[in-house]
Amino acid sequence: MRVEGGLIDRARPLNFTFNGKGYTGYHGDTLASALLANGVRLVGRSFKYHRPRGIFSAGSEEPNALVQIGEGAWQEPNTKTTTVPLFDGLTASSQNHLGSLENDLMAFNDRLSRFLTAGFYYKTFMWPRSFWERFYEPLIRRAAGLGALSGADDPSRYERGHLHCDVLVVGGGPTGLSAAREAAALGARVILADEDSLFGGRLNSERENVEGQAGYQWARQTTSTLASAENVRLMPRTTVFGAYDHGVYGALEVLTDDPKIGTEMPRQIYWRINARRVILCSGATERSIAFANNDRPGIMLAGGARTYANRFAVLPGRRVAILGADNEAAQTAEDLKAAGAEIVATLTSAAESTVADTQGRRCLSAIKLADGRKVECDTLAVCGGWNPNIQLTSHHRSKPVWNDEIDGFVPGEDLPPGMIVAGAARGVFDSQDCLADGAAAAALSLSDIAQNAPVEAQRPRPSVKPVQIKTPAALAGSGRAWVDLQNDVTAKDLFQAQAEGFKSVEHMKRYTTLGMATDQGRTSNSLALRVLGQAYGVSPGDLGTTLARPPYNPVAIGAFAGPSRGQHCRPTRRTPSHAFAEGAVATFVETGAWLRAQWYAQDGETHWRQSVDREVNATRNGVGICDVTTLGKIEVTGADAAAFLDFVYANTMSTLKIGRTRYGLMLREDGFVMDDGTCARLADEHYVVTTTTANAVSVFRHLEFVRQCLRPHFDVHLISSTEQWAQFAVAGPRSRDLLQRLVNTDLSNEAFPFMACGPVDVLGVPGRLFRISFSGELAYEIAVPTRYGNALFAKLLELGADLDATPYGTEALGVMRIEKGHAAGNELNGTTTALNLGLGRMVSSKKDCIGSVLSKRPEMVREDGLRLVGFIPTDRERQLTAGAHFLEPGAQATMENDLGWMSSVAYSPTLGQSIGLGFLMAGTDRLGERLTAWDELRGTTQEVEVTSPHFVDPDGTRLKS
Amino acid sequence: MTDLSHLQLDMSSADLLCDTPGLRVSLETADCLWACPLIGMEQSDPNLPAVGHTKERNGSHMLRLQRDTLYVVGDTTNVPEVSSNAHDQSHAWNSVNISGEMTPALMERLCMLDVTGPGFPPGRISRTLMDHTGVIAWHINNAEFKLFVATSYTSSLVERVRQCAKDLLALHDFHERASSTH
Repeated sequence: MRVEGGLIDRARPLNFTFNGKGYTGYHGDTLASALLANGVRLVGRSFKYHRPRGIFSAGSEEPNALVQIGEGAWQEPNTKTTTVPLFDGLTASSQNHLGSLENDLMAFNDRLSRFLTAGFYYKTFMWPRSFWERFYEPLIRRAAGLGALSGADDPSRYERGHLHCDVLVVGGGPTGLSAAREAAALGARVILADEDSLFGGRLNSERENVEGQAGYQWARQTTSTLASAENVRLMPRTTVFGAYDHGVYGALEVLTDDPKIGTEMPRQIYWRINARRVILCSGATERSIAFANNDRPGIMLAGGARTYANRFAVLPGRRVAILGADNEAAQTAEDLKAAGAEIVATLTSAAESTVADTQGRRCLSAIKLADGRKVECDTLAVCGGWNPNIQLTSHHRSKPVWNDEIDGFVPGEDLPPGMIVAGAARGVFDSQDCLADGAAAAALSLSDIAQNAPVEAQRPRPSVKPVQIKTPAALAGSGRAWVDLQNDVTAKDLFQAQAEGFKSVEHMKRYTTLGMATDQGRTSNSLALRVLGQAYGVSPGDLGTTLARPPYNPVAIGAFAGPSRGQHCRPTRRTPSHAFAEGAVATFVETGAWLRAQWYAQDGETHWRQSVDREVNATRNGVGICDVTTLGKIEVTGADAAAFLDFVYANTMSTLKIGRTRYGLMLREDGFVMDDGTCARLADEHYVVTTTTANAVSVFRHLEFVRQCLRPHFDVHLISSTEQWAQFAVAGPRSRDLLQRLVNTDLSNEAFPFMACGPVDVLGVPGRLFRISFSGELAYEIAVPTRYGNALFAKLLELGADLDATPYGTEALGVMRIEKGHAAGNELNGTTTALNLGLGRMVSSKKDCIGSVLSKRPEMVREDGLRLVGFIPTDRERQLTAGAHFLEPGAQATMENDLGWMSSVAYSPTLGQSIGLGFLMAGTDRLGERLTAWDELRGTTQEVEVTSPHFVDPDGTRLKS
Repeated sequence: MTDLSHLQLDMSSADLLCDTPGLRVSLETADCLWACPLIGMEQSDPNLPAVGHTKERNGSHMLRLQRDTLYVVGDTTNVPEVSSNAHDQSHAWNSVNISGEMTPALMERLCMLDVTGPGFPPGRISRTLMDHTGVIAWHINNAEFKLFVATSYTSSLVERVRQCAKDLLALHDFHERASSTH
């Protein structure tokens, strides 16, 4: 029922629906307050027993009133009605029921409650074992749960960001506002974050004065002052949910819950806040009392009831009973009475009786007192005292300590570095004390980093005032008394866990699921310990407590991912000829971060093999062009460049003449092959080293390590030029003809022989030309500054139109290198040696190099070791499969009989059959033999013949032509 | 030689990604960017900027990203100490230029640098990450940054920056609407 007053804006009515029925609220309402204002008291069903549940609190601690917001792909389950600001068009629906909310068919679970106690899953569904995953678990999950995901992609967008500050004030209640005000005055860069849309905390919920004015007005004025300060950043609706290493705090800012707006801008921002100091002013959460049937809609926390009356101008009920702490009860009675409620009972310590049970089918209708009386009421406001919100203090494993004076846990001493706790979060509950404590905490926190000296660091801080009369945790009664409302854990479950030996709080938590719901036990953990302590006559502190972990409130997975989803999960690199390839409708393949053209399909080609075969044939018979920019390129300069390269390459580079290129092999320290590539000498002290695409970064890192750590005295420098040069392979018997139309350098075999290199003028652009070949054909690689790359690619095709110049992609590149017998990633896999690859003679014995010593280990130089050889199927119609293992004909497929494996296969359009490369024990001695290729994964076996790995032009006539 | 016409650059010299009163974002080629190894030099030479700092000399900017390399933007002859070792990197990088009063808000969404505080004041330069893309961030003036991004990664970064700028402007409008309604 709506009453006068409050902090809502009655000039801005808002329409919303709940379970399809339309209602009206006001700007400033939460969904919970608007529902209460419209008389909606039943909002959901409980997790396990499907009991009717209503709104229990007015904050993020809410365990009951969880609903689904939005529809279709927008729907978000398990949303707390108490934290969602009302917006126009909001649609909400209740969850976890079969049939209507009012007549939930699953409510029969409640009748079976005596069988569904703690641990019943583990005891009941033991046999047969295989039924657990297939039958029992799906059944249980359908019967008990929360809301449901849509199953569609989340259309909401999420952002991510980084903030820095001198001091992060967590919580914008009186303590936080005071701390922020003081810190700002000291010149610190301040971030003040609060999960609520309004700063002020309890000041917006209570009718008390602060510094001579109404609390909410003081909060508003202080907020306004802070907002105008340049060194303060106010972050409403921002929950600091985790304290991480090195002063980093995770925070979630909610910008909107409205899906209409969520398409225009991000809905939430996940901030990583780097804070030099943190003042934790997270306040306190009211706790409940365990008594029979304390879960009915209409039973709520007294502080929540006051919030609804004072802030939202909503009476939670007309006839209100109040139970619990004396001072809270009196304040609640006064506020609700002032708002128009009838106070039918105030059950404080002075009362003659207390609550023994409650009644009401879907909502509270009456309470039964211990003396037998029955009091008709529609609301019971309960206050069992206040628990400091200390969750963030435990995120670095600091253990809370029990404080008998406030009857609750307070932060331990081993707090996250730079954190100070102030106000109610450390047990200081009086508002005036909170203001003083916030200011003192700010001064103390900033004493060594504040800009405006002097800082009065040791300002006295208010002491924790003892609670005069402690409220019992549990009341006697015969019905079930709920401790954890969200996970349906009762006091009986706790005692049962204890009786069965789960005495440790950690064990009890897992056995009963206490505190393991999305509310993280905000209203249940402390209550459970107090219930047990009261029953066993021990202090809750002696029972211990579990440690809170991040996040403080649930965070959508989408918020963690932020913009990094779908194609934005990681960045992609585009080759210089990407635009041309796109225009040619190339099929792209990801190679690392690069997007490379895999093949260029032409009209009429319906299978990738048709395109690739055509590209290979065109290259071998005419000229093909491929973008090979992705290979790593490193400029090595300096007086010691030659000596440096001799040290990092297995073969010698210092003897390389200027204008010549040499194939190079790098070893790791352990003697295995690290990478291969070419090394071109452009000047006496200037080499260009190329690497494989996959190892471009790791080779550069390796070279820098050698330069800086192993050879720091060398005059040598490394510059990565991978990005600076666009490089294209121009391969095929007509490649010289084509390039000669582009450059005015004499490209004859005599003037520019195989492995020559040098600068060239490419239509007025300074370029580089290398006569090197990966395909085995007469071939060149031509390089121009990157931004000319796309134009050059097109120009090459234009100039070579009459030569049938053809672009080819990585697939044809791979086919041709297998035909030629060149090793690539499948062979250079980190487990092969130079000898394995047939390159043993490249490891020079005349000089030292990285990996030289360990490459000579006996196992690595065995004569009968693995050797790279070629394979063809004896049945030419069959296809070879990569990964197949070689066995002697008729041998069993065992490790002992394993002779090696097939590393790369391709269909060779040149030979008209499938070919493969692979490693075979003593392979070079077995050419011509027939073996069995056994592929366990594909379930195939076939006979293969061992051949030379050089299927095409084995004597190199073509590439030297 | 059948055609002596010059090849065409595949990017115009400047591409405006966002142009509003509060935020201007443009993409440019990183013309005249040179990597200059400090070979055989005293690396703590006071005439050179310290690591992480920049200095201007006769219109050329010296960017010191690491101990043994100086990047020069502009004419290297203004930095004779390194001009003989300069490697052209103009095609290796593009630059995203961000200016306007909303620059800090955009930058704090893109990278982890302390763009409004003492951690990364004007005149500083740093290698950093924007999401997963490596960039060199140069804080030129208050609310003005230049981000060098490797050419191959440019489209990824531009897409991210453009979307982020769009979101920021939408958020700005959202707040404006909310305050005017209020």
